[in-house]
Amino acid sequence: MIIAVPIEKSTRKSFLSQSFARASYFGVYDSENETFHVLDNPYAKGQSGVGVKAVELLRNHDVNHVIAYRIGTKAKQVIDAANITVSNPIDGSCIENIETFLEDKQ
Amino acid sequence: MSEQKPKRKVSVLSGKGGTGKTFVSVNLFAVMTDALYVDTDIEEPNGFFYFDIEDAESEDVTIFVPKLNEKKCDGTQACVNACKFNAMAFIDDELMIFDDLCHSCGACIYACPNDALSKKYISVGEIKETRNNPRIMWGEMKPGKESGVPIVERLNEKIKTSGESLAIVDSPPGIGCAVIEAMRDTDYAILVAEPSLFGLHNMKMTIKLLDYLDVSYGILINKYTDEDNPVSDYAKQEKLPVIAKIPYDRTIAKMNAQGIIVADVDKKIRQIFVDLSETIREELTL
Repeated sequence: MIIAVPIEKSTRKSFLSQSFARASYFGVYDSENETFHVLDNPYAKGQSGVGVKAVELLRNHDVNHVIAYRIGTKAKQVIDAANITVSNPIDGSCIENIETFLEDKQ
Repeated sequence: MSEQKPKRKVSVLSGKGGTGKTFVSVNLFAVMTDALYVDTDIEEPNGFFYFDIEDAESEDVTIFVPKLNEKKCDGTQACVNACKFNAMAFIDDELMIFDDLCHSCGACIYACPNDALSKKYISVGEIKETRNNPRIMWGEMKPGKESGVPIVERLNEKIKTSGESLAIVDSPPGIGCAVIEAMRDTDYAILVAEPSLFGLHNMKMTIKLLDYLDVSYGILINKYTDEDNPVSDYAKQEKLPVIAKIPYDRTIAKMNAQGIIVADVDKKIRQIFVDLSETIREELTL
């Protein structure tokens, strides 16, 4: 499973961005290979349709789960079309959120 | 063939809502009976509340958005890459089109090597127009639509083909896209300002826009009192023309809120608008 988290700083300890599509980066964790990498979000300062493009970007990186506070209506449509699941964050860093999500799943 | 009279367009705008654009527009219209009144505040048109209207005709305003012929699409994504407004996404071999984000530029249709996209027309709102006096036009955007600009564009076209030589255009609030479209071909603008710090801030933003668009203007101070105020100070300092002052008066506000055109019932207010109309005719060389 590949999990994406919208974050403000490009580290695994970064806190989550309040905005999904306008986050500066996405923390991406691959649970099979146990690898973490950070994706730049080129749409963070875009004018319109950033939610649509952000989901497209994540889909192109084979993401199938997102942990985020709020996702806009258009981004949600693309998320649903891409069969990406969504869950609510806990208080904590990017990596803490990913770990908690995976623990809860077990 | 009758001789075509020169068209003149005077626009009433302000940096914010609630400053008195519609109040000024309808009262000016009341003393300039040869004019056409056009409410371009398509998100919340309310100028027509002041009039008894029986004969308004409606016209649908449509825009085009891309429509996919799935049989012809082979997934090149040329359309997605051509779209500058992020209105398309290609997810798991399927094209998603977001009509609300589309600006009807047609780039996607042009870019597709397989002719898989064509135009589909959707309604974004309507225009209403009276045939007889009072001659009024207004536009109304459909709830949930993202942009009212196409409706304002259509109003602009209709102003051009109307019989009147003068149009009084009631602008939307702010300085956004719809306002910029409403300002198109404007010969003279009335900038309505409130004599407060907020009013000054909004007036300065609007002046920037008018300077950028190269539209000459005069300032109308609404809710004016004799006390010192930042708008008057600024106008004096920058040598900007103040063309009218409407006194702060609760009875005016009350009548206005009841849909009464104050210039029709109050001599003092009427005179202010008659003077204003003369200033405008001079500015427009009518």
